[in-house]
Amino acid sequence: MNLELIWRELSTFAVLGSGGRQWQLAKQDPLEAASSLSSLLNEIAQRDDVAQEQKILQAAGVAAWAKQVAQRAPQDHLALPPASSENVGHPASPNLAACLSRILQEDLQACLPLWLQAASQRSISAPAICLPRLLDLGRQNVLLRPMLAHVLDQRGRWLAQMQSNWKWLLQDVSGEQVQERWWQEGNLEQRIAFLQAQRAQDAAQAREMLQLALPSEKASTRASLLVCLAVNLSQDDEALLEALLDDKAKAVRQAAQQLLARLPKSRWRQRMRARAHACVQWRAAAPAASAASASGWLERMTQGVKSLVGVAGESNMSAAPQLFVELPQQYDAQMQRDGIDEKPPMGVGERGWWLQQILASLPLQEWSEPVNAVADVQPISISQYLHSFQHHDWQDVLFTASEQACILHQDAELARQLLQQGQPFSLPLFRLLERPARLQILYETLQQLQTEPLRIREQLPRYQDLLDTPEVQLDEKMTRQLLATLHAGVMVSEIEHDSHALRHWLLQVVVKLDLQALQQWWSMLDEWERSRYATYGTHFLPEKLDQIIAFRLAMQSAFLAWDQLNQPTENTL
Amino acid sequence: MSFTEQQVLQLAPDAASSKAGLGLASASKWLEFSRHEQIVWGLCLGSGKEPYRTQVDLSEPAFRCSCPSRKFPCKHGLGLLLLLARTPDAFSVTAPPEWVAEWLAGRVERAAKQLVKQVSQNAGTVPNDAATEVTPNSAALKRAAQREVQVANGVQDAMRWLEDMVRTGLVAARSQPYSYWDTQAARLVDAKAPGLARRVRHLPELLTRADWQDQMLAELGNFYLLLQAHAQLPKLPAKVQADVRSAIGWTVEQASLLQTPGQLANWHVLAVVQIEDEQLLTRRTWLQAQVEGAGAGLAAGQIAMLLDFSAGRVAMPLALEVGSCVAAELVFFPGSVAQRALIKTASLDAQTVHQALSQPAKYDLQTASAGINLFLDKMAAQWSLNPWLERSAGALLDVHLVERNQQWHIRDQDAQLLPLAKATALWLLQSIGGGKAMHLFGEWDRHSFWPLSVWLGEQWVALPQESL
Repeated sequence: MNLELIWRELSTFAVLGSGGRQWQLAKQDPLEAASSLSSLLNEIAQRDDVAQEQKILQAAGVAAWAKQVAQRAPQDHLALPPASSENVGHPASPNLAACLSRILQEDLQACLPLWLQAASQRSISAPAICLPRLLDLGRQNVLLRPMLAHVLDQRGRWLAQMQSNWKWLLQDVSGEQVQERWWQEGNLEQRIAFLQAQRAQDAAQAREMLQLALPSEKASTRASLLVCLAVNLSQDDEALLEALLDDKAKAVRQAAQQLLARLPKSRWRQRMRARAHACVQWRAAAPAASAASASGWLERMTQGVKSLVGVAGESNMSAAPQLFVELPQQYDAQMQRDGIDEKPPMGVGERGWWLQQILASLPLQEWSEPVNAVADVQPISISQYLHSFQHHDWQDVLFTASEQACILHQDAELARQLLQQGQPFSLPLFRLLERPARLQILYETLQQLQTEPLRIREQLPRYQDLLDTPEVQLDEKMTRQLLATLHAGVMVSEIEHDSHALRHWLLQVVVKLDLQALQQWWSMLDEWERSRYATYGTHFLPEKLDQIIAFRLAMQSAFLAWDQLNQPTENTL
Repeated sequence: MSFTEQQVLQLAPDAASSKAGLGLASASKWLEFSRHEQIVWGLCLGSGKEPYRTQVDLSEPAFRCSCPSRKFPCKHGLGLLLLLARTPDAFSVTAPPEWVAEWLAGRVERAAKQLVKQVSQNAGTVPNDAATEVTPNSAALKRAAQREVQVANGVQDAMRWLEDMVRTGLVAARSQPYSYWDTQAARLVDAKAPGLARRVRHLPELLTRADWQDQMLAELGNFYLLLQAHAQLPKLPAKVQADVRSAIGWTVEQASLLQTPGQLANWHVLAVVQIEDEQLLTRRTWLQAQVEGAGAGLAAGQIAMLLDFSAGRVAMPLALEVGSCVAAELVFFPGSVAQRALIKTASLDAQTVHQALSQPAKYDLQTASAGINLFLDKMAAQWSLNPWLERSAGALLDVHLVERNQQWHIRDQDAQLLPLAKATALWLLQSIGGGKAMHLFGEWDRHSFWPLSVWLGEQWVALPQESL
């Protein structure tokens, strides 16, 4: 019998309603009609003593049962999707897999970078059961991505192709061989990778390719591709960049400005230089008498510079150059074209805002006329500039602009001096430094804080950024200094209240400390000292420290056991 | 008695409690922790002035804690058990302190009262021909008769409701507010027919599916068949009567069921699934009899389902560990299909298993279905006997995961497709399989397959219900 046909009829009646209509069984082949199912359905259909809806429900019950029992699976006519390639890395041992599972399941995520780093160093792949969670974490935390990319391996990349949330893993094309077809067919990351490779090889040809492609691209793509000109940037690129100052998209104009800023001979930079020189001047110091007759603000500034430029004694005063600043008088169309915004952010003066943007585009040494134009003075050094900013009427503008200029022109020496000036901490500046210089600054800061224990609770969390790079691990010396500083703060503290910032910072830091030094220090504290930690704004710190130390030890042994079976690797846990 | 962390975590009322429990599973969190025979207790420093007094009777397990948490078991109970699972040797064995002894005495007293009550109830019963069946006393008979009447009225009411729905058309039903379904479900609860109420609550979800017309009609037809069967209950064979009564929501008295002879075998634990629905925690444990050495009358590869519930302050029993094998005597609930079962006697440690049955506890993949149509045949054999069976379970060999028309399926070696349940831990499964063929064990509910375990390294491994 044709069960499907009967079912369709029943379905039509049921969906539209049986009211006023007669359901009858479709005519069937005599042989089929003799089957028991057919007889049963016929019997139901021909009953006169029940309502239509009762017949339909009864017949539907019987037919659905028959369909269920006779159910066959549909045939798939498509090919199977490709399977994942074999992982390149080694499989994690059961103990290492268990450690990672604990990190992801329990409140131990601060330890994740440790596992990832140690596993990456040994080319160990994460166990399959953890991959979806790790891919999710990579979506949320950009800083983890480089380490995650290693342990996710081929299986992770294969999975990432199927979920838009996990595409971040595929966007990292750094490990792949650049292919020519990427320029026409690839995604944005692949096109960027290709263009950068092309720039390194033949800058002019890459520029021409870009020039041809730009008109047909959307604004965000234009801006992203344009950044590739940073590779092998030269004066030859100026014409294209100068033309792009008139692009209709702000993102493209900004990208062009940033590149032009890095070309010392570009017309854009010359225009900026001219604007800066009109506002900023170093002059030889006036004699004391004439200084006394100067206007009030000028006098104050001069006195400030005298005390801060490190010029010893009155006898040298006349030789010390002084920084004079005049704000731009008016805003014009050319300033707008060059990317200087007219309207300042809230709380910033309009003219000061223009000056800040002008100065931020130039290296510090180009802010004023070449120093040899000033009679009888030595070239102006970075430290003289920075000293002169302090207590200056335009101190905020000058420091902000110098920081932005430092980042734009990647001036590591300026970054170092700015950080040593004690200005509010800036992570981008910190990142310009080489690792030894970074750690030196951190060490000195901790030493300084140790002498001011009452400030520690408030100050320590400000240095979270120092450690926010997941791979940063502190050596034994730094660990001991950090713990000594923390300890000094804990021991003098008399306030008992919860400090979220400090707690968060400590939990982040504790996994970056040298394990042996941490363990030794913690085990040497007596009960009273430990109880101080519980009242130092971090009620659960002692327990958490116990938990993390125990977990790190367990993880360390799991990696050591792996090393014993494989080749030894420098331990960083 | 020893158990694993996973077993303890399955006692948790929710994921947050699991996480909190794990956080307390280290010795440093406890001022003291000790054990004595089947009792463990500890003092845990919380946010209160006094440490919380946590105690667990491992025999059930039963929990008690002085913390104010409304969750049961609380994180302290879970943490203490997890600590015991991780480091049993760290627990000192001492005599229970007064507060533990008091609790124990209270439990013994309550158990004694319960026993007295049971004995006095039994005293009013008339023994039947066998010790396995008892005739209830007159009060119980009266209550049972009242319920029969209530259920019969509820069944009639539900039949009229279904007929009205088909008369006006399912299109109209589709636009009904949720109260339309909820009110009818509540009436069936009042009529003491919780199984029917559950079916009604399930209906609105069917209306959201792409093929809602077919699914709704099939469900309503099946529902109507059940109601009609109940109306003619005395005329039906005993096993079908049991199917109908079970589908309507009658419970079977477990004490008398345990008096019946069971099936002794090595039972492989293939899957454990735990579901929370309206504050009721339900756990299904799927077992399969070992092919070799199965007791007389037991089909090779017989599947059994243990069903446990937890609500309010009643904790779940410890879950069996997926991949393990237990020697146990199981009794099946009455019905056309032997599926739901109770453990009558069990020896949970491997040594006893081997002593009892002297068979290596190795799962034989030959009992799994080598293709989707074979699997469906096995399922059909059960549904042909009992059309109201909610679900069954089985293993499928060498299947791939494929996405077709925005729906994930499993595909066998003959390119047959079976849709996957929405609750599938899909990405975890994909990650484990890597696009290659896998063996899966899961539940089949007539519409979709829900993988619960995957065959890895020569044993079944549970798929976490939430990916890590």
